[in-house]
Amino acid sequence: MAEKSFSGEEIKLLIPQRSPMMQVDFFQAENDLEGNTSLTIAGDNLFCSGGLFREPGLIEHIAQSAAAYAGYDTFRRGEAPKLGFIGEVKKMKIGNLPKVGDTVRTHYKVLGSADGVTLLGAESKVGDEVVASGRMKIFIKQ
Amino acid sequence: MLIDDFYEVVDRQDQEDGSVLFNVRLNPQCKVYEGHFPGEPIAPGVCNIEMMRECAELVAGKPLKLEEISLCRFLKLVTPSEVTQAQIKISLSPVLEAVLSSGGEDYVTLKAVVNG
Repeated sequence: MAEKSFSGEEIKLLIPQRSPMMQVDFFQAENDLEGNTSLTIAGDNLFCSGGLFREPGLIEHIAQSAAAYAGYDTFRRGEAPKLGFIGEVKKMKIGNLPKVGDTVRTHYKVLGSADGVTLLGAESKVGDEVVASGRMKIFIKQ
Repeated sequence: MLIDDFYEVVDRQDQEDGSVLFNVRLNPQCKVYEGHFPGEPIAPGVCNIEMMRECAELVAGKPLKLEEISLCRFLKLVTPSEVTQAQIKISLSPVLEAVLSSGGEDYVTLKAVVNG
């Protein structure tokens, strides 16, 4: 059976970030360790400048993909999303910056998880072009 | 700057070893805190990275894009009500190495490949 997908306002069920910080507008797990998120870049996105979605926006999108992964677990237990923070960003390559109107599609894979710390690898694309890829460690406040 | 009113550079001190120290003032009224997080303002880690990139641009005197974050560690949370003043040390050699500290403690360390 396919996992439940979340889009638009439903993302608030999974992550604690709110406007103007929200940088994920779709989430669907593939299984317990992998899944997909996306974000369509609005012109008034906090991280846009000169029509481009800048580096911190891409990194935050991946961080919130990790938050949504963690939040999906708490959602299934009937709980509200917990606060989470980036602990580490490693070997994160940034390609051509997405433009306003582009949709960034991200595939994540959990590489390890223990005691509220999740290590995750992610690759973000616009169309077939990789715009960001790397690893991130996220702390979830218990 | 990318995020309006997130911080301001107070002064710049060029060091003998070629690095540059920036004193910055964080603005607890910035709108990012409305969403990060409601009722519990914490500086988004990516905004700290962006401050470092923008300070590096001041050192380089030209726009810089982050090509790769080799390693960025967030050692302590930057809470704007407590951390109002911070120091950002920038070395461009040409790899960017940056440290954000406050009160003698390191909060964020960054090593990144930049292109400008």
